[in-house]
Amino acid sequence: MHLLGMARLAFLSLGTTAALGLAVLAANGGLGSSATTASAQAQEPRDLIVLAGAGQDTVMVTAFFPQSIRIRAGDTLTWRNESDQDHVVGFAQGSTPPGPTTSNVQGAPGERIPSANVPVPGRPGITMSNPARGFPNVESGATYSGNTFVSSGRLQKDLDWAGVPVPDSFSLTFDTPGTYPYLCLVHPENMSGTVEVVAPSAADVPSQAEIDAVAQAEMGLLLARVEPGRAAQSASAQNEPGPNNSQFWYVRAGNSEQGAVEARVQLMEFLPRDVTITAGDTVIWRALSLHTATFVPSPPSPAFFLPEAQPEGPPWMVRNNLIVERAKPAGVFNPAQYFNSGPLNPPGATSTAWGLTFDTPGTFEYICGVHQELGMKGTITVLPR
Amino acid sequence: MHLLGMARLAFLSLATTAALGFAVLVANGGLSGSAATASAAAQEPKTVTVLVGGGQDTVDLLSFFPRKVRIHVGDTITWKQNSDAAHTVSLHGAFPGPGGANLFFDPGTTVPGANLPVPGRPGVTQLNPLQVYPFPGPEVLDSVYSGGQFVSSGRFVGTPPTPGLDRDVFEFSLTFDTPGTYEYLCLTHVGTMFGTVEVVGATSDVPTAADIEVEGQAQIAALTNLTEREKAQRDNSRSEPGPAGNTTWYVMAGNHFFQLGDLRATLLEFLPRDVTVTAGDTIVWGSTGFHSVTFNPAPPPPPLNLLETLPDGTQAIINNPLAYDPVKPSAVYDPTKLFNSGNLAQAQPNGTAWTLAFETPGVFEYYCAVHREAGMVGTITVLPR
Repeated sequence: MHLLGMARLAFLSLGTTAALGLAVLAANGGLGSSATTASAQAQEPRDLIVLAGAGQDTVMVTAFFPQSIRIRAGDTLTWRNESDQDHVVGFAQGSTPPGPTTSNVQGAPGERIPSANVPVPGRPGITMSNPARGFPNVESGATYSGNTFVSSGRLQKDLDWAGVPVPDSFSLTFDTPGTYPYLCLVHPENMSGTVEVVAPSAADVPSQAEIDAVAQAEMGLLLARVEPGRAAQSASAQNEPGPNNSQFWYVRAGNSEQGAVEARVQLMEFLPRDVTITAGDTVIWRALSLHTATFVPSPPSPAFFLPEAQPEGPPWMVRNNLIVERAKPAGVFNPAQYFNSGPLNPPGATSTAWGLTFDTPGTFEYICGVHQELGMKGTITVLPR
Repeated sequence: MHLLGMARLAFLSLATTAALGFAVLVANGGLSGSAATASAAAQEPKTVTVLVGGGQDTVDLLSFFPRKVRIHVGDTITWKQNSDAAHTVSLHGAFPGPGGANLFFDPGTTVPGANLPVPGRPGVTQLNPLQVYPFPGPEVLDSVYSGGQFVSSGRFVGTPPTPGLDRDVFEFSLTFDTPGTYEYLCLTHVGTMFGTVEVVGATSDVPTAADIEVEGQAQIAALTNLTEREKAQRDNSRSEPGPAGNTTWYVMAGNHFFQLGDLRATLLEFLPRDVTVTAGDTIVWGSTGFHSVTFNPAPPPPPLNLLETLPDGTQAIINNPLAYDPVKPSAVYDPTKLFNSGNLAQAQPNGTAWTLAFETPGVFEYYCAVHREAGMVGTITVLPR
């Protein structure tokens, strides 16, 4: 590892000398079949693919595949999202994003990225997804030279918003050698990657086939964690005694593996999905990321986003307050009323937990208002006392 | 694969060539020591200081300051303890024993696991000595690092004395003799606290020790500002209707987000600290960190760790079950008994939320067993109904 690093570093520090050395070595050793490819000339620019995210349905893998890539100046990278979740490719290093910002946990202290949500003009108490995050600020295919803010906008397959189709891929051409960290602006805590751009003449860059092999290996490692994670956390609900001979039951909204590689694998599921309790018991939902527990008395369930086309610019992705705001019309669950935890664990959350007491026997289905389309739902079955 | 392999091989073979070229270049530039050619003159080896952590009392800045340093080959970094928290400086590499996943390196790489089982005592764990003591031994505290291997300072504070070392560890000095980029992290705060050392050749530009100090202080100031703002924003409890005309209250044990995902500074506080409820009400604590909610009728609290000699003669740092295991002797709070949520960290089976109902009027003080000495205490005042 460090030896390779040294070689790279020597190369970067040495520039011409090393390139010359490589040329000599390549010519002697025969790096290619033709002598011309071995000279220190610029290579043909290439188009290369990186995958943004992975996972289908309730499985979300927040990583770029491969996480690091080395390309030549002049090459073009295309990020493609083949997963069921949305991701945004963002470059923030050395730049100032437009509009309201928040700190970039994966960047240097002081580095900023667009904040998640912004107020809807003229509508107090209503927010929308920050357009600086969800929509591109440069055209796909643009050239990136470092130190400017870039958002690919939301990349997702098979989706349109207010009639505006959402692309599933985004391309940038890199023209300046350097190392460029980037991240997913929707998952800024745990989804990041690096593009290392070397001289146009460099031979030390992987081919697409090699890139794919690394990507598949990295993806395999993460996907292998899905089933053990699900099994560990869905076996049975935790319970504890509560007042008046009742029980407190704990349900996770989403998985809780955190602080590590596992944070890149998330289950959009209630764990356990189905819980059976007795009338008088209380369920406590706990979450480590953006989820809700939402009981809808009569379908359809409210959508998380209410897109509004604008005369100019991207549509407003208005956040539906039916999902965003807590609704607890009574101290005990009533199947005829709308109950909603609101986002558990959003930025600025005052709690990562929400409790609801059940008295009416029956089986009650509920959803996560944010991830309902992925199939994130559960049931509470209440037995008579 | 084969092309990349070949290219890498070419590069590795080139190392000698490059190094040779390097030597020539340096010689030409003036290794002589004459100050006339400032550009390429070899520098006197210097020592730079990196601060480990920051903050006092309930403010815990989880970073190295500065987070990235760039030094010359031959320079020395001295890491100095800068807060009350138990941090380590641990350079990445292979290590013996079980590992846990590591957010900051390539998927699949690991760091030493936090806890190990205790032979013959199911359910009891001990701290992994690799997390606690200097590795491979106390001699590492002032040594030369060439990359590739796992070395660790051990915990700077808050640990039993290191066997074979008759002093507390407050400093850790490594001289870097090999160019490269070295990632390191704090094993107590895996997933949050990490840094980078970039070691470059003597002719490259690097900041002075004074520059590095200024940069570190600027980063501390930036995080401290964030902390102050956070404190001001988080001092409100939230209540909701509960069953039987009672109220459910939500309290956070520690903060989670500063801003979106900025985990590099935490508040070791209950937010809000003091809550007033009515007999019959329930409190739900939420937490995403290593905290507990502990009501202890008979202070002092049990120690977190017990130093024990195991039957095989090895010394173990046992995680005291009295401090870590959940205890709920009755469904409703009883001021004469010990109540303990146990570890509310995210990956724990009982993590992220805990619930307790109150009937007896009075003012009840509680603490976090992990951060009590930092001042993490709160009160619940129960008014008669």
